[in-house]
Amino acid sequence: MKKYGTYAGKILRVNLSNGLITHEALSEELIKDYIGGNGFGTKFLFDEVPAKADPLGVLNKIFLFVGPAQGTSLPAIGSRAALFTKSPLNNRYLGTYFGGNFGSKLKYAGYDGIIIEGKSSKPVYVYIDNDNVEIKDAGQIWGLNTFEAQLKIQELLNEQDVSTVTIGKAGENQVKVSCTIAGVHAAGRGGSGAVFGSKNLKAITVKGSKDVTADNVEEIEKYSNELLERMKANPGTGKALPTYGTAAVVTVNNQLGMLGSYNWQEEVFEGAGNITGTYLRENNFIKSDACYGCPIACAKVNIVREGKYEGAMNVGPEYETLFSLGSNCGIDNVGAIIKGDRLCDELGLDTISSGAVISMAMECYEKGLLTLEDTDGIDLKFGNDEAMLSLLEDIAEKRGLGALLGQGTKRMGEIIGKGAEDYAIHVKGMEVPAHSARGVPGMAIGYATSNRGGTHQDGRPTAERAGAVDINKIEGKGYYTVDIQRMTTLSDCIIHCRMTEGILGLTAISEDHRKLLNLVTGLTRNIDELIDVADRIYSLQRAFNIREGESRVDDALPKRFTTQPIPSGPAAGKYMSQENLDKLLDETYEKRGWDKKTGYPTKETLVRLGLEYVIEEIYK
Amino acid sequence: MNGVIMNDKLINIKVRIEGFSETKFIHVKLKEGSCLTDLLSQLIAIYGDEIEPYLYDSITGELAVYSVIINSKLYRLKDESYQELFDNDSVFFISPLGGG
Repeated sequence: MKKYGTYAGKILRVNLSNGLITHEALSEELIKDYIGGNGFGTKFLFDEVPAKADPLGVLNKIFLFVGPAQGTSLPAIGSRAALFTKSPLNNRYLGTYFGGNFGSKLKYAGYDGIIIEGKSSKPVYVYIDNDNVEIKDAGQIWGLNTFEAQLKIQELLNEQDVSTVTIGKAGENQVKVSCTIAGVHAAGRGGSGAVFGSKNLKAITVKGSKDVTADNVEEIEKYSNELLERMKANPGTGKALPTYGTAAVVTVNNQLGMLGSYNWQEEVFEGAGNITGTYLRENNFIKSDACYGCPIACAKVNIVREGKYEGAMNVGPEYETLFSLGSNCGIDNVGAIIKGDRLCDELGLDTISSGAVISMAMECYEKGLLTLEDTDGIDLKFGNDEAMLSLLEDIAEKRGLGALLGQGTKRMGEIIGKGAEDYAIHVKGMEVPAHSARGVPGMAIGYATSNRGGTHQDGRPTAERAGAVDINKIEGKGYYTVDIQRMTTLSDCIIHCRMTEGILGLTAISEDHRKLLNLVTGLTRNIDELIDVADRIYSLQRAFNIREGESRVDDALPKRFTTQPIPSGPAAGKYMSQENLDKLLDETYEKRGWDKKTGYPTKETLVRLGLEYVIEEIYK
Repeated sequence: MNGVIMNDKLINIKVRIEGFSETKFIHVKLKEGSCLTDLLSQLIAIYGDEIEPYLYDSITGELAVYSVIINSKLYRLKDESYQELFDNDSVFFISPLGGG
């Protein structure tokens, strides 16, 4: 009889410096205290990557984890995986998630995770074929784009039934806004591709043919079918997402007057009608695509059928990219966005951060902080789609202005100077995605207290955007956001897709989360116990960042969001004043048991969460 | 006259429900003084099974849309379903989709 649910029970460790490949058993402590995915990644990152380690140095590591639910039939969950490392973009904790089928294949190969450490002296890739693991020469793959690399690996292995996570030129060149790509799915944020590149690691490829077993398979199957039916029955997961994908959010946020435009100088985009889900469906749509075992099929294969970008094709763009390469750069040519999206995927660039650095450069250019000499003669005004596309390639190649942009908006501000810092729209060095901090108070405090920085995956905009929670109320949103972050922390241990948040629980850890986790872990826990797990993980991430020098002063928003109200449109006048942000910070610290002055988890909180060993690390 | 008051004044409402149709707007006529609840009833009366999956959870039967935007202003259906509609109002139903 299996003691712990659907875990494989084994972690693979690959040392690229000495070629040593070892296995280690999954401990009971990990399972009980950290569950999987995000929990595992956080625990290993804190324990194994020392303070102040260079993110692109030999001491940083790559932790690729799944959780107990991967490899099962649970819809929109079973296929996913996550990467954890110290971010080269902002020197903080990084967790970045991706769909496709890598997660399930890793589980079928018999692993709950892979740890990559050290650095190879030459380009390599790691090939996992169940129990056989090899570090293989990547001489023929280095330099290929992410799609070419995946196909070449299949050719070299003479094996089609594999899944690969790989980097493109941006990762090879250690660009800080690079990402990793698996299939057509990006683990987008924080520069994970650069960490691969720094280790001369081109890819990890997995083939798995084992079973995921459990004593309660019938119960899991029954619950999977129930979730499947509920997803079909819900207008969001059953209709809007299957029809338009996340592109549907363009219309919603533009109608609300909260669609970031012109580097967030505006939040209504006059060209939004040309980049909506409806527009793409009518003009560019070919077919839908789904992650392994997912009934939603939110991915849309789009092609440009006419105009100067005719023939450009990609799976996407997602909502975030329609914002980052579109409205936020003042570009309403959806063909250019499709082409740019494809370029980002091929080069291995994070579309959010890449778009953000370009939109910041456009604002700097229009305001005279960058000149034609700086841009190599490019007229870098908002709306210049050709400039946007050429800059993407320059960023990946660290060429010309691209070398500056590839360092992220925070460093751009510091290097350009002359007040350019005010146009750097980031939180803790990570570029802010497509959800308005001025218009959505819960999102504002969610950004400020995220352990990753400018991400919409710790705090969430959905409940306020959809109207389930009052979007105009500010007081109490600090407490509210802690509940949201507890939910997202636990969701990232399960590694369930955010598309299903309306099914599994929108604003807090829910009965569904509890039921799902108990089914796949074989443990019996109540919601309060799961909140403790989430708090343990979030406080440990916080401690990792504190070790790097973070404190309350870093829980901040871009000056634009705290001083400049949205200038026009339905949400005109809204912003998050520093005074209100401070009140919300106090709320979050109070609820989490963190010190209001420093933002550190108190010693009492660390003891309560079983993190006694962290005390000496951060209270030196 | 089958109970229809012939001199009832009608108002025209433009409706958009992302996901429902490739057409950008549905045009609906309502009696003057109608509210959001009346609009929902009229949409179901006109489009029936075709539109229900975009508004209601088909298992629970509950309204699954939380809010609408009327002429660029947000209204939450939980608190404001009796918001009166006026001629030529544009009503956008916000789909409860996650992700993004």
